[in-house]
Amino acid sequence: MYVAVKGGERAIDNAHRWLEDERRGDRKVTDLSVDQIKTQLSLSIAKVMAEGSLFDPELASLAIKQARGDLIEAIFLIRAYRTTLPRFGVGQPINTDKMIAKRRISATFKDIPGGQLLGPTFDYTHRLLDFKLLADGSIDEFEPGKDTEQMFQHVTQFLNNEGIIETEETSSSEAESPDLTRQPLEIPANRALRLQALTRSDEGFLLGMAYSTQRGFGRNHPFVGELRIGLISVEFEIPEIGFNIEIAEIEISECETVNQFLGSKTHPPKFTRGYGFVFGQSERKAISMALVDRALRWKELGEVSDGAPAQDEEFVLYHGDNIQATGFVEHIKLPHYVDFQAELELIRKIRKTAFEAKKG
Amino acid sequence: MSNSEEDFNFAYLDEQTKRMIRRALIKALCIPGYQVPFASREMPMPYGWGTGGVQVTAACLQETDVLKVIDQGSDDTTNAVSIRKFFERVAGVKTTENTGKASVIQTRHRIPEQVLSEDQILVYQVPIPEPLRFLEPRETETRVMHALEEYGLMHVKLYEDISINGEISTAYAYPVKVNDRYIMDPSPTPKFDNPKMNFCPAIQLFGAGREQRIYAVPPYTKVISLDFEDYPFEASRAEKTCEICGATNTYLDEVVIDDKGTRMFSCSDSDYCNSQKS
Amino acid sequence: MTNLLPFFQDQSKDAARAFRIALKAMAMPGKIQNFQVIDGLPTPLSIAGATLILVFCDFNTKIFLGETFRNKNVEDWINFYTGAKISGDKNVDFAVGHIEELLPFHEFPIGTDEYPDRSANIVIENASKDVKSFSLNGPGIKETLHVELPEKIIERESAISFPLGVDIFLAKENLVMGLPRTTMVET
Repeated sequence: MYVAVKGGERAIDNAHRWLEDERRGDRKVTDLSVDQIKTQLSLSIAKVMAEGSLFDPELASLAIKQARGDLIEAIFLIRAYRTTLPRFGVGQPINTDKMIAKRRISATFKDIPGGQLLGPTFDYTHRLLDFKLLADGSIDEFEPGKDTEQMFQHVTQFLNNEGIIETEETSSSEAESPDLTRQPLEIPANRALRLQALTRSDEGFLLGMAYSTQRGFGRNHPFVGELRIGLISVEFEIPEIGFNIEIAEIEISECETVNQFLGSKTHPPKFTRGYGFVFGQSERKAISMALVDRALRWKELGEVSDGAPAQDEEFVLYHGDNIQATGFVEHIKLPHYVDFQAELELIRKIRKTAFEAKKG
Repeated sequence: MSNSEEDFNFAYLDEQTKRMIRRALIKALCIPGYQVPFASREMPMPYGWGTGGVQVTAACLQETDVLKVIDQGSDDTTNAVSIRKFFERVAGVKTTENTGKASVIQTRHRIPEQVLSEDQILVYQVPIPEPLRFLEPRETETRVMHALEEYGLMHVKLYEDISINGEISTAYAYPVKVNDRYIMDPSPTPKFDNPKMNFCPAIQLFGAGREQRIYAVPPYTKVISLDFEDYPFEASRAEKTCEICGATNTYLDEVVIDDKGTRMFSCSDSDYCNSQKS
Repeated sequence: MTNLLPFFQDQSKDAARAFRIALKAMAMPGKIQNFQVIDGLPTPLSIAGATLILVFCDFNTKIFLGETFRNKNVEDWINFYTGAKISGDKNVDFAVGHIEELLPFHEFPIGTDEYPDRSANIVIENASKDVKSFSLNGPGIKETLHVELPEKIIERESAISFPLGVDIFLAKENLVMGLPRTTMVET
C-alpha cells in the first residue's frame, strides 16, 4: 500500500524537535536571554506589542526568542496568548497631554512652547555600519536633561485656538468604544474602530498604503503637526472603591498630521487631522497610520473619493492584519489534493470534449 | 503568566467566548445557509488552517464526545493530526478514526463516504464562506445581494462557464441553495460530496475563523447544487476503481507512484477504505 | 448569600452538555429533549428556562422577563450567574415568560434583511398549558410531526417573515423543544 501522507504524527513531532534545535543554534554560543532581548531589541518589542495588541515587554521578548526573531510569528504567539486572558473591564481613556515625552517634534512650526525635543532618534545618524559593535565596545551612559521630564500641550491645540483646524469631538455613538477583538468587523466602521484596526495592522502594509497617498493615490497634503513618544499612565476605575487607580505606565508613539483641506459641500475650508497611535517607539508606523486615517476619512469630510486603495475602507481594514494575512496566504501549502483532483478531472473532461469537437 | 495545561479552560476557549459562539450557532441553525457574523478569536493555530472549525468544535464539545478529525478525507494528514492532538490535550475527549463511532467530526475538504446519523455533528473548516465573493469582492455588496435574494450574478457566471467550456467549470466549493433561500458555499469539498449534504441526518456546522462567519444546515434540510435544466449538476469523480479496497462509488485520490508518472487511484476517505478492505 | 443558589456543578462541562441539548432542540424542532435536573431554582423559573439562560446569557445579553418572572429572586439569580441586563422593553436578545406575557412576538427584534440573526430567542415557560395539536414541517423535521403546543403559538406567524423572525424554545420542568422560525406550524 502506498499512501504518501501516512506517519503524520511522527513527522510533526520530529519537525518540532528539529525546530527547537535550530532555534537554539550553535551551543558554543551563549543562550540569548529574554532580558537581553527586552533591553536591547526594544524596537522589535514595540512592533510585537503593537501588532500583538498586548503591552507586555517581557512576554514580547519571550515571543521573539521563541519565534527565532520572526516578528510576525512572535506577534502570532502574543495574539494567541492574549485571547486566553480574561477581561476585567475597560480602562479610562488615556490623555496624551499628560505624556512625559522623550521625543516631541513638530514640522509645522519652527519652534514651539517647550521646544523641539529630538530624543533617541535615528533621524540624523549617518547610516554607516558601526564596526565597534562587532567588538564589545562599551557605551557611555547618557543622562537626558530636565526638559524631558515635563508635559507639553499638543501643537494642534495652537491651531485649534485660532479655530483653523477641525475639533475632535466624541460623538455619542462612539462613546462606548467598539472592540475589534470582541466584535466581528462590520463595514462601514466608525473612526474609533478604524483606528483600532490600523494600530493593529502590519507596519509594512500601512507604510505602503501611506506612501501610495503621497504619490497621488488619494493625496491628502499632510504635515506632521506633532510627533511625540513617551510614557503615559493607564488608569482603571474600580467600581467597588469608586476611583481610578494607575495600573500601568506604557510607552507610546503618537502622531497628529495637519492636512490641507479646501472645503467641501458640507465642510468649510480648514485644516483637518489624521491620527496615529502605536504602542512603544514606533514612529514610522504612527506617521503611516495618521496618513491612512486621514485618507479613510473622505466620506465624513464630504470629499470625493479618488477610488484610491488607501481610501477604500473595506480594502484597508480587511487586509492589514498580518496574522490573518500570513495564515491565509501560507495555508495554500496545506494539502489540497482533493480539490486538485476535482480540477484534474474537470480539465481532462473539458479537453476531451474540445478535442472531440475539433475532430468532428 | 504561567502557561501549563491546567490553565486552559475545558476545550480551550473561555466560557464567555463559547457562549458567544453558541449564540451564533443557534441563529445559524434557525436561518439555514445564512452566514452569522461572530467575533472569532485568535487561536493557537494560523488563520486559514481551521480556526473557524476549531472554534465551532470547541464550543460544541462535551466530555463524552468522541472526536474524529479529517483533512482531505484522511485522519492521518498532518493538519488533521495536529487538530486532533489539540483537542485531546485541551478537552481530554476520546478520539477515533472510525466514522461510525464519532459523535463530532471536524473536516477539511471532504464529507465522509459513510452516511452520517442524527447523533452526529459534522463541523466544516471554511476558508471563504461567501459563495459570491469571487464574483463580487465587497462584503458590503454581497450582504445586500443575500438580503435581496439577488443571485443573478451567480447564474450568469455558471451560464458563461457553459457557453465557454460546455460545462460548469467549478469542481469544488460548488455553490448550493439551502432550504430554497440562501446560496451557500459548501466549503472547498469536491462537488462529488454535494449530494451528501441534501437531507443529511446529521447537524452540519460551518466555521470560518478569519472571515468571522458561522453558518449551518440542520438535519433533513434541502440542499440543492445550482444547475440548469439542460445542464444538470453532476457529482463527478475519477472513473476508476480504488486499487486498495475495490470501491467503485467513492471519491478517489490520484497518486503518482514512480518517476515515469504511473498513477494509482485509492479512496480519499481512509477510514471508509479500511472498512471495505476487511 | 447568593452563592448558595443552584448553578451548574462544573460550569464548563455542564454548560457544554446543556448547550448540546439546546442545539439538538433547535436542530430537530418538535422533538422533546431533557436537561439535567437542577434543584431549588427561584420560582417560577423552570429547569429548562434557567438552563437556557445559563447557557446563552451573559453581560453582553439583554433579557426580557414576563410579568410573573419579575421578582427579586429571579432577577438576583440572573444577575449573579450571568450578569445579563434585565430590560424593561422588548428590544432584547432573550426573553423568558409565559406565552401570554410575551405576546405579541413581533415586538421583539426579528432581525433585519441584511442581518436576520439579530433577532430574539424566546423561551416560553409552562408550555404544556392550554395546548392544542399542531403539525410541524420544515428543516430538521424528517417527516411531519404532530405535537401539542400552546394554542397561542399560532400568533408567532406575525413575527415571522422568513428569513426574519423570532426563534422559540418551549420549556417545561427540565424539558425543552425548539421551534425555529423555519418550522411551519399548522393546525
